[in-house]
Amino acid sequence: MEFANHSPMKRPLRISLIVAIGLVAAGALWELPHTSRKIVDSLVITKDVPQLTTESDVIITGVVKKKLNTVREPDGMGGDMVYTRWLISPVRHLKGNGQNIVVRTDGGRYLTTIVDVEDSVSLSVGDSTLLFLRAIPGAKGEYQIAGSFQGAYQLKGSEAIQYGSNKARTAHDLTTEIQRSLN
Amino acid sequence: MRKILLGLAISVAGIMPLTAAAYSYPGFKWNVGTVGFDTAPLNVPAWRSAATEAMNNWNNAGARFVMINYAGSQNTVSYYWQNSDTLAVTQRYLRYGLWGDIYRATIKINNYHRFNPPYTSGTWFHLPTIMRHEFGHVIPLNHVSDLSSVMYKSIDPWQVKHLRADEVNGIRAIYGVR
Repeated sequence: MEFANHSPMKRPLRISLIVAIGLVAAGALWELPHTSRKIVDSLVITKDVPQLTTESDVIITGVVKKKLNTVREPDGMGGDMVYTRWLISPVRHLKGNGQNIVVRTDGGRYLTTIVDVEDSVSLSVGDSTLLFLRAIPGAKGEYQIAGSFQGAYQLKGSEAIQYGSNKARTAHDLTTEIQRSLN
Repeated sequence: MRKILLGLAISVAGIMPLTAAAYSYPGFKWNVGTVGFDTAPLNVPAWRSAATEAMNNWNNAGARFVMINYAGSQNTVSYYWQNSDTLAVTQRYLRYGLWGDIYRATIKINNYHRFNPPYTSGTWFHLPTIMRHEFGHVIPLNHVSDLSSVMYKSIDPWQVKHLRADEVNGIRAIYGVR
């Protein structure tokens, strides 16, 4: 027997190897049901600025400071959804308050789950933005964008450009309409 | 030489995703001509009829791609309940790998909202229009920027939309004409 000739020194190594292989196999088995690559398309209700203003908990202008990570959660429809978490540094609060706001956008990659979401708000670090935000129940200080793509604008110079649709208007007009809707 | 250049141009055009102002196609598709959908999870007969009507609308476009009712299919039309602005969601599952064919699709209607049928009063959304939109994603067509298109990304209450030449051209361009 070959094993009988192994020195006692090698036995811990062998056990470690078996444990490591077992852990990897268990991890793979755990991950297997989540392994998918899908594209998600949502049809949303058309929302105007007054509606978005009313339905938002927080409205800010700010700068995208950092892409934090991705999280995978049940999508409420029997599958998985991946969200990308972004740290936003507010410059101005038009509604609500809070510093260092974390915003979740739809889609991303988490281990072997890949979710692409059409018209998802594609933030980039350094973007100057105006965001209509709704608090995520049970996730303190974390928000999702109200009205999907309709509630996120990139601020470029004097323009506010809606993510996803590229519709542009002046930032001054947009903030004025928000403030009017708040009164 | 001219023939080689022409052949090269045709090849390049063939592998590029189709994008036009009228419709948008992401560049992957089903590798079968008939796809079955199980609509039984919808429960409400009028909702199942709306799903069948939408499939037939797309089938009548005359493309070499047909969607049918098929009990027990892994492609399902069902509903869920979520307090959100989303009316419906289509999920298209792609194979891992280079080609990324679609091998499964699911459509989910958000039962949090009121749909016609059955609602005809108050604020409702036209379910056959929503079904046409969602089956358009199954094909797969993407959203377009034309507000009047059935493939526009958002919808107002009471809005009714039908397939137009643009969408018919889209499915025909992807799968060819019957």
